[in-house]
Amino acid sequence: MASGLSLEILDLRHFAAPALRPLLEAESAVWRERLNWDYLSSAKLLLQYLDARTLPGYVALDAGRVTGYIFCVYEDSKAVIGDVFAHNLGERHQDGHLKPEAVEVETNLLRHMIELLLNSPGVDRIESQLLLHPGGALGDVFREAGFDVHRRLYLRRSLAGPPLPRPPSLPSQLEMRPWQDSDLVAAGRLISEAYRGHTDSLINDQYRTVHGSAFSRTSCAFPAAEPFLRRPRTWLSNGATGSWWDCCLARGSVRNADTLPRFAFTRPFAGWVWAGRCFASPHRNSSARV
Amino acid sequence: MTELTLTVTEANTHAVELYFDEHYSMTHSFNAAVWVRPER
Repeated sequence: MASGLSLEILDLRHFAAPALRPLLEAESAVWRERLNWDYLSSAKLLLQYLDARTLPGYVALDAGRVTGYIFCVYEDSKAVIGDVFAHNLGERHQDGHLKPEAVEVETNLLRHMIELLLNSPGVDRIESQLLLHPGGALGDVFREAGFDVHRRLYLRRSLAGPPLPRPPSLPSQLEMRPWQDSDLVAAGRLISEAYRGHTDSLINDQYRTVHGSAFSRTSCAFPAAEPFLRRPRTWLSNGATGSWWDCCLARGSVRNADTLPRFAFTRPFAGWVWAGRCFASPHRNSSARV
Repeated sequence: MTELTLTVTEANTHAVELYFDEHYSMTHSFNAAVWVRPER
């Protein structure tokens, strides 16, 4: 190894939770620092999978010390690379770049994972969104293996900034009310329709089907999202006829931030502005026909 | 609650513009990667 590392890559299922705990704690700190996300619940879930020895992936050992890991999950013929992390990822040079050792470990792990999946006859599709890793990082590894790579942006909006205007009035036939569990199938139908032919449905094929949209298995593929599912906060509007018009799905909150990972509209972007503004509206938790 | 966050694909330019108009700012970016096995 050019960096002097003495890396050994082993199957993740050889390792139980105690061996990975320090690594996951270090990763949780990076999630908190970089994205203001509480990763501890997700880490706890991962540790449970590790103890069950059911999580496919690899561990990187440097001189016998666990220094990185990667895992994936299978969904039928699709594999999702959920995360890759190296121990000193959080330690950066003054210019903000990762240390070469961390890059080397993550690159090595990712290449192993990709090679395994590409050579798995039952795998016809591989997806990955490595949210923690800054733009450009590891992109070349994916491209070299024949992946299409799409840049995604993480946006933040302070509620202490410019005041959010009051939501505009809705057309009389629309109703806005909080999410109900019974809305799941209708939301799935709306989302799959709205995302037909959309770039995001190329990135995540769950958007292409009603079932996939309604029951996002993101919680398994990407554990960082898992705690969000426990506290859904969703606003939606439907027509007087009962057919859906727009919906806005929000899952949060983690520490002091709410995350809106997905929303869909049956007409382009209509309603999003007021839906977003509703978060700051004093009426946000009330059913309303406007 | 003090802030809202979300992720959006850069190629979805209409959505990105809309968010910026709503005073969102980009604080981070990352890659989404997809591979599909070629049909034989």
